[in-house]
Amino acid sequence: MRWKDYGIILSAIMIAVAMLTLASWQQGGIRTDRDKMGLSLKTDLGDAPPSLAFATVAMGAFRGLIVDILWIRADDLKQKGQFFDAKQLADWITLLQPRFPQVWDFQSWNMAYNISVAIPNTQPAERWRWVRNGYELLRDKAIPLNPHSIILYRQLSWIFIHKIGDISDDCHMYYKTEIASAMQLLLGDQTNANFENLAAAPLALEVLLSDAEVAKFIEALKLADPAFLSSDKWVENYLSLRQTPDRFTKEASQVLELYRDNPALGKIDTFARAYQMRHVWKMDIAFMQKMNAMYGPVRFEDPNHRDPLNWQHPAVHAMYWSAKGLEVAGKPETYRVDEKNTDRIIFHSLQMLYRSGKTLLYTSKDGRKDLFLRPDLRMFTSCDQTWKKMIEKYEQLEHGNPKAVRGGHKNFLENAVMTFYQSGHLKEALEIYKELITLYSKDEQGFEIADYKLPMMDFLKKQMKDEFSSLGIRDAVEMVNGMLKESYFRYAIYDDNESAAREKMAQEVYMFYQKEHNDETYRVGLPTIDLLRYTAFMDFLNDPLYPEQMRMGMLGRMQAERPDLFEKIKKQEQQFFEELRKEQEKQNTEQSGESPS
Amino acid sequence: MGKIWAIARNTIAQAMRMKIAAAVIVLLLILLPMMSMIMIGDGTLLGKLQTFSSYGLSLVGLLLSILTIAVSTFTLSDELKRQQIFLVVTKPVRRWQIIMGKFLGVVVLDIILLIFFSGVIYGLTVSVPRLLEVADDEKAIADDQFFTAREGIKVALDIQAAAERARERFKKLKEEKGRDWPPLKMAEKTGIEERMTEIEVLSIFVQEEMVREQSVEPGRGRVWDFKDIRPWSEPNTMVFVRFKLDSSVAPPDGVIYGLWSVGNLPAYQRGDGSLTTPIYNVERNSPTRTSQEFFVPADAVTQDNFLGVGFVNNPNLNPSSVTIQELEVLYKVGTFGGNFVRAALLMLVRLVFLAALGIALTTWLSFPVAVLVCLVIFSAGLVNGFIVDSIDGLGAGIGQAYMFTVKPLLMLLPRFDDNYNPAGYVVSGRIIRWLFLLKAAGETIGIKSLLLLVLGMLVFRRREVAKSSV
Repeated sequence: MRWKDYGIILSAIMIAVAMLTLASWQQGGIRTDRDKMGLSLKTDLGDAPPSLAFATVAMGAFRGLIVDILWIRADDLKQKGQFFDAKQLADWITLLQPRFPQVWDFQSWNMAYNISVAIPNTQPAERWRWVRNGYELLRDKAIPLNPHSIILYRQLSWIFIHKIGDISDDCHMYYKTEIASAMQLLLGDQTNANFENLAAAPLALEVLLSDAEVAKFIEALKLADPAFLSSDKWVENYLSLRQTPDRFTKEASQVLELYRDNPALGKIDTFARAYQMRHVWKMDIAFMQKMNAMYGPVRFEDPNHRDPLNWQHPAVHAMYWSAKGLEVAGKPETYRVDEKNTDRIIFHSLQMLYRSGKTLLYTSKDGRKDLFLRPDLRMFTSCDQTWKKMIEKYEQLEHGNPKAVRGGHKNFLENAVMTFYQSGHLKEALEIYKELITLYSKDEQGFEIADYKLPMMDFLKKQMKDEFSSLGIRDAVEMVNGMLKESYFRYAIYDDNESAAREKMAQEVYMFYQKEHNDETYRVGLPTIDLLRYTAFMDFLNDPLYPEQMRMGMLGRMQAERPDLFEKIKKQEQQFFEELRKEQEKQNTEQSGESPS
Repeated sequence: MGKIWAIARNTIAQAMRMKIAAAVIVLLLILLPMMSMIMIGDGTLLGKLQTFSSYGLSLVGLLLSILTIAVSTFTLSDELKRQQIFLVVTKPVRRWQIIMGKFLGVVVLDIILLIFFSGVIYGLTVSVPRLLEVADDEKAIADDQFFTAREGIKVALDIQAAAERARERFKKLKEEKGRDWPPLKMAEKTGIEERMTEIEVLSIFVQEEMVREQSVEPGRGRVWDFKDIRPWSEPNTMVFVRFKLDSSVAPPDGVIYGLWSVGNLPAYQRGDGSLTTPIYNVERNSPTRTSQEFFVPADAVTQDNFLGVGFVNNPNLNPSSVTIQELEVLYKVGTFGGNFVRAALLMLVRLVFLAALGIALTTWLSFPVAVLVCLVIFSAGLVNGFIVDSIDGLGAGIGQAYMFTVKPLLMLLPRFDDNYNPAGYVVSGRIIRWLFLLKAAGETIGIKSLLLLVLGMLVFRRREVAKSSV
């Protein structure tokens, strides 16, 4: 090569280096501009698992193309009604676009809503699987990768409160039962002391081994069953052993029996349950305690004491994730749409808990589980306080007219007065009434509301009159029948106070209705209260919604503990059949009288 | 024939020495068993089988296609480049025999590999239910919907009747409206109101009549007749009804509620005692615009192979008309094994075409260029159906231009998607008819491949092999 060629090569290299240097100087400014315009994603892969780091880096420029192909395939299969690949595609799409929250949001919604309803409602277990896939995607993968994205917390809460907690899905009771069963296993008695123990439980099994008795127990289990040799699945297997010992060796059950009264067993139980809450359900127990303290139900006998929230109810999970989202990712000073929606989920969850927050998980001998939901009046205080905060936020942060929200609060208080009275909580009803007349003594135009000047009992009578005056006989009978049936249900589950309250309310409504409609026609048409008791009793005994064991249990209990009522009902039955027989005879006579012969 | 076979044997040996062949074989041997273990689909047995067979067949199809392209373009071009072809052309072997020999060699290699890997997929697929501990009902669902070959009969829309009704309506309105007919519309370009053409109005009316054919108003029902349904006479055989629902007003929860009835519905309606088979009622709430299936026992089909399917639109739950689209009755007509063999044959059709394409192109193009062209044509084949449908969906003006230029060219290209993709049949348990297979083979091999080979032979016959090509 000649010197001229060397000169050209050297010049070219120097120009190239200069250009590269110039280009690299521009990077800083371009990156800043990109951040300002919101065009860059946070792609810090420092804490990402190796598979994720590989997928996002190795694909290079093809990542976008591959993601497009996956999206097209997912949509195409969805159009054809083929969902076998939906979860896998969701996993891959979210693997390739992990920092794009909308991807996780869409995929979880697609699984929990679209795919689940494509399964017939005769397969609730299958449907539940897809709902779980949806919320687990958010809880287990999306949020850990995008902890500051509030939309993910909102979507997770929404699945709990709407898909599981609400009634629009045909299989909603199945979903609720699954959540309640899982929480019952993990949380057991939901007391503050229990939560203290759970919060104090060590984070790792190794810490527990410092207790000699615990170490001996664990060693004994390892020897008894090889399933306990693996430290990865130790907790899972232990909880399974506690629930279904038959899955393990007899020796393992014997070890349990040996340590039955040993405090070590209690420590391990607590540790295992806390471990599951933290690692499987991804819940922060300390935060759960904080939620209990903020929103827990208030005892009537001690208004300063809050019990834990009912974590068997999906609305509580919705609240947890909403509150967590607001704490971690919220910007309260700006109160964006996402914060507002997440806030509202807390509010609606509290309302739901007030209306149906008491859960009874009834397990029959054949293993069938039934969940019953009833109002939890203890949630009134939390609901009321949150409502007032909502009104305040609306006024201060949105500078809006909270007319609609205040109107809703007023109706809520009015209904609460009646509900508390009907349940026999007179003192609480009076306090609520006082609050109502203090806050809403005047209407929108500034005039005083006449009804609120009445004493509480008169106010209630007027409310009842307004409500029942539009009822026909049939509706009235149905209402009384419903109250009596509810009373028998409460009696069956040993909720005697509520049972008595319901029965008393049924009688009051009956007498009120009878008094208001003093007309001959109505008095003749309205069955006797004893007959209504009988029909409600038979309705309950024949209703397959309630487990047979529960119904027979109620019958047995009534025979043993309330023989007078049982006799009354039996007498009524005889009278009923006697009247029926007479009616039939009369009809037969009339028909034979009309026959041509 | 001996000469052709000798060249073919040589080609197979050459291909087996290629690193790409080894890479493809090793890759498939590792990936297929791994996929059968790690792919879980939606967690059910059916989902697992569908996911594995979908990805397995697609992977085998893709890798064998790439191998075929590589081998078919390499074998001749390498010999030309290295001038090894001189050893052959100097022998009493005709040029067309060389082409046929190369082609035959690649095809035989494809057949061997296809038999082997299809066998692997088949073996793994039938083993999965035995190896996994699944409930009996899951196995039954997999048997009914995957390990089967189902025929589908779709509802035939009476287009002529719809067109006739549209014409009647048009005529009636014309008489009523007089000078105010046809109606006015806003012209796209000028923004001024102008009269629609008669053709435009008629086509709208025909579309409306077609929709009406498939619609059911709230509180009403509709029955569709399906004839010539011949399910297998096995006990516990099921008949499947597949459909997609849409409504004029989108329901807030995206779900449509309805009652389906399946059986000899006309006899039931007549009530003359001619009903001898059971009627099955199925209540379903189905999401909109998503294909769904439900099944009923096959004893609902009458002796003369008739089945009625009815739908009642529940007025209390659906506020608007419901359109039933893609209504189809599916029933078992064959076995999974037989259908799988036909799927493999459908894949072979694709490979034969690619072999012919590769060989033909290398008679006048160099190796890299030939590979590139093959890949482009292969990719076009994978999206052929999509492109043709897109052209059909274009507006009147530009669509007409494409109809006479691009579309005929696309017809010359192969089709590897939609009905020509074997994975779709296996996944949904649908039968690949021999007639369809023969048609696909006839088009792809009999016409297109043959055309390519003949062109290649003609080019190669006149080609100066001693001259290097760039």
